[in-house]
Amino acid sequence: MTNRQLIFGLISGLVIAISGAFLAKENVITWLLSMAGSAMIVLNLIVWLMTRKSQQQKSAMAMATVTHQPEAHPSGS
Amino acid sequence: MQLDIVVAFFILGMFSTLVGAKIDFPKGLYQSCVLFLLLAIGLKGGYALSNFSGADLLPQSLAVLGFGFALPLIAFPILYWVGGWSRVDAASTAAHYGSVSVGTYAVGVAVLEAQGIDYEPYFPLFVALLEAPAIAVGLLLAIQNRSQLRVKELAHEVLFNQGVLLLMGGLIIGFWAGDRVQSVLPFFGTLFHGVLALFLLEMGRKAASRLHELKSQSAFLVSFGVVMPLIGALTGGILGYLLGLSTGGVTLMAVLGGSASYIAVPAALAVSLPQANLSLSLTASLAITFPFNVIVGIPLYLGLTRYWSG
Repeated sequence: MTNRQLIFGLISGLVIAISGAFLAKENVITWLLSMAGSAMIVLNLIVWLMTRKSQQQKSAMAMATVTHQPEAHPSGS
Repeated sequence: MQLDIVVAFFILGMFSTLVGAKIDFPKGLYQSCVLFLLLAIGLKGGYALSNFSGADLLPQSLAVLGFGFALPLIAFPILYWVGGWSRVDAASTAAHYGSVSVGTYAVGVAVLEAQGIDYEPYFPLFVALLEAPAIAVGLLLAIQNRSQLRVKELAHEVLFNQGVLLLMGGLIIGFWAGDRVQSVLPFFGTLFHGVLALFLLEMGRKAASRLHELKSQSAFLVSFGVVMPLIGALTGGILGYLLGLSTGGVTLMAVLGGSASYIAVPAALAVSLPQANLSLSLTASLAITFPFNVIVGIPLYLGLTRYWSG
C-alpha cells in the first residue's frame, strides 16, 4: 500500500464520517454513512500497518542473508 | 428511515454466503431475472413515453450523454495517479464506474415507488444512454496506439450488448404499442418487485463471494468503491437539479451517477481490452459499490434530495 493510497483513504474516510455524522444528527439519513467512513479509516490504517510490518520483515530477512554470505576469495592466488 | 424490503433480500444473500449456507440458485434463473428487469424497465418507460409530450427530452438526453462521457474522466485520475494502477486497469475500472448498473437503478425505482415518490417516466431512456459512452472513453484512455482499436467489434459490443438492446427494445415496443402494453403489464408490472427480490438475493451471494478477492488492494479498492459513487451521485444530483427534474428524478439521476456497471461493461471490455484485469473492476463494482449503493447510497441520495428541496 502506497502513501498516496493511505492519504486518499484517510482523508475520504474522514470527510465521509464527518458528513455522515452531521446528516444523521439532522435526521436526514441513518448513521450507516458515518459508520462506513469510520470503517474506511480503520481498514486503511490496518492494511498500512500490515504492509509496513511485512516490508520490515522482508528487509530484515534480506539483511540476514547478506551478512551470512561467505566472503568471496580471489581465485588462482 | 426504513430499509426497503427488496434490500433485505440482498442482505440475506450476502449472509447466506458468508455463513457458508448452500442455496441452489440456478444460473438460468439469474439470467431470467436480468432479462425480465431489463424488459420491464424498458417497457414501462416506453409506455410512459408514449403518453408524454414534453419538449425538454432532447436537451436532457444530450446532457445525460455528456454526463456519461465525463464520469470515467473523473474516475481515471483517481485510479491512475492516486491508486498507482496501470493505465489499462485504471481505464477499464473507470469505464465500469462511468457506465450504469440496471440492478441499482431497479432498486432506486423500487424505493421511490414504495414511498409513493414520482419520477420522470422516461428515465429508462437515460439508463440506456448512459450504458455505452463510458466504454468508448475507457478504451480511448487505455489504448495509446489507436491502431490496436478493433472498432467494428467494439461498436457491435457497445451498441448491441444485452443491456442496451433489451432496454432500448423494451422502450421502443412500449412506445410503439401505447395502451396495448396493458396486455403484458400484469406480468412485467406486478411481478417486478418479486423478481427484483430474487435478483438481489443472488447479487448478495455474488457480492459476498467476491469479498475474498480484495487481498492486497483491499484498502484502496474499498476507499475508491465508496468515494467514487458518492462523487458520481453528487455530480448526477447536481445535473438532475440543473435539468429541472422532480425530487424522484434528481434521486434517480444520483443513483445512475453513483452506480457502476457489472454486466455490460465487463462483457464489452473482455472483447476489446483483453489485457485488462477485470477482476479488480468487478470486485470493486460488485462487492463494494453495489452493496454500498443498495444499503447506504440510495437512502442517502433520496434523503439529501428531500433535504435540499425542502
